[in-house]
Amino acid sequence: MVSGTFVEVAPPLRAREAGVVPASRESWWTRARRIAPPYLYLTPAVVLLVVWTYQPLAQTFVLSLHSWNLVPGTPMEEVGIANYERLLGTPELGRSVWRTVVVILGMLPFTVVIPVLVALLTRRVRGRAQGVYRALVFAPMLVAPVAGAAVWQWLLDPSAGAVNRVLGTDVNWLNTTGTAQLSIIVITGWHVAGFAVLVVTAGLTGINPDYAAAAQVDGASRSQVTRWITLPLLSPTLAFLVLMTVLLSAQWTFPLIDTLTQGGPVGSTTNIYYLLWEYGFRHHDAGLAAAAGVLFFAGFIVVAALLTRLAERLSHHDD
Amino acid sequence: MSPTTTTAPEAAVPERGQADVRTVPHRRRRRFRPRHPGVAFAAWAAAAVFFSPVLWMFLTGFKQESQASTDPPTFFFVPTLDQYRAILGRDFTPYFLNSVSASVFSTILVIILATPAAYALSIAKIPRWRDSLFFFISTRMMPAVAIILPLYIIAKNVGVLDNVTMLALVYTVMNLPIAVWMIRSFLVEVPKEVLEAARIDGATFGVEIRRVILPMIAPGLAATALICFIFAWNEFFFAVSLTATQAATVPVFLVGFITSEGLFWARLSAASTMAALPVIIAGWVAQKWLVRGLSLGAVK
Repeated sequence: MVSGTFVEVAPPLRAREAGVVPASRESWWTRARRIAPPYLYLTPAVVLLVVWTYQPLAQTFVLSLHSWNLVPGTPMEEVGIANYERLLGTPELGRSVWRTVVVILGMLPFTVVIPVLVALLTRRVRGRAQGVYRALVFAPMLVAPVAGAAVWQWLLDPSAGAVNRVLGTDVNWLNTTGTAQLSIIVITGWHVAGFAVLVVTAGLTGINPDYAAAAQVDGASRSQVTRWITLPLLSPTLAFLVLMTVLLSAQWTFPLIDTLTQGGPVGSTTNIYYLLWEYGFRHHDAGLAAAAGVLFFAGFIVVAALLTRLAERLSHHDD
Repeated sequence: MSPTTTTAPEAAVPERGQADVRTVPHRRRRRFRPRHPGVAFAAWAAAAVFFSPVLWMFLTGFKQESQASTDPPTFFFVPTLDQYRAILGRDFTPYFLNSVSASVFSTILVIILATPAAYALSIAKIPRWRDSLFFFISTRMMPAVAIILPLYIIAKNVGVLDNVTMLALVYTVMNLPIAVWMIRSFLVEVPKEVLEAARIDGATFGVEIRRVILPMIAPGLAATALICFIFAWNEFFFAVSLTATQAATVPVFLVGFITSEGLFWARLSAASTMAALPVIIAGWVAQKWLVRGLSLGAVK
């Protein structure tokens, strides 16, 4: 047992003091026991993610080179890059990519602009009022998107809906090509804004108040403090929100599109996410859906890499 | 379990120690009061507009069908529980139980898997932690729709299509990256001095985790768990793609409602309210930890 205690206690202490322990003085087993634990903590999570995301992605890639109608027993036919050619030849693809861009741009006010304004305003509200305010803004996030869709279907009803009544208009919001996309964006935005407010509030709380106090002592006005101290220090949070918006907007719209418009009218709300789902689960065209999935993922990786690089460059860190 | 419960009050003490955060900004923020009542009014009006659909949904659930779609809308009515009774009579319970199992099980699993992983990326920092963190986040960049077909095919072949366990696993995978990332940010905030002091006092690894680290990040863990629970509870895409009749969750139930009884607003509202209720309760209970937890450093 003496050697056991030596093995367990002494090397880590010395390792911490000296930085490294000479390799000659420890066996591979000691060394493994010193180095391995953190990797063991990581392993279950990593294995799960690899098995459940990267492995299916590899299968998606394989599937994209085949033609198959998803019916078990029917043969998968190898077709090379025919699916990609077919996909790129579809006019629908370009349109749905453009609609996805519109959705992302339309979501930014709800995920960045409004949350920053709300969080800055509620920062000055104190006590119980602050809690009530946060709860009001956060409430839509707690309502399931599908339930939210039901409520909004009612609010947007062309004859008795509250929106037409308040605006004094006579619009069939969800069944008109121009307004359907707008409705989807607003409803999705309504739904996720609460979460974004929470994120920004957390980001603001994390900012050291000493900076603002120091600037005030130097005579900075409130708007100057916001512009030159708060917002720059908030930039990592904002970068994170922009990235989330770009990557997840299309995903957020899915429940609403599926319940409210099914991609219509005349495909005007079919973004890339819904198009892909339709290929797979409506048209049972596994190859085409997989090809679109691969392209979609590749596009997102490029955009995400560009955005993170941009964010690193623009962000101010409070170190 | 007993060590955790005994350390809870002790944990509250350092938390209160941070409470000067509460008093100091109060003095400071006095000066920040909005000077224009107009700004305050606009802010409250915006919040009211935001909240009104939720409120309207809640109210409509207590109406009779004839009062629900009147023109102009009915504001004063005798509340009734008829709609709730009708929904409970419509096999709502299995969907509800499916949602509860999938969300609770996946949330527990996420926390169990994400905490050690986050520990390896923060306190027991592995050399290439930045790349590892990026790996976790990269799985979230993958649009769910790009991997749904293989998942569907695997589930079908293994025979777990329309199965709650399958759904819970998918939700675990879905929430794992965000949980690792959040918990890591809480662990990073644990002061090195505290850990060193504990080690000098002879704390073993287990004691260090249980009595030092866990109490300090408990609000953060609660916030993470709540976020994961909400995401899993409200999730629709996987639920609609991977389940049919056996494992369908509440959002899927609601969709059935919308298409089959789209004109019955009162019943739909009652169903929607019931669907939102567990999340609202969970959010209410965890609200205190949520803001404190997130402000521990989640998104810095």
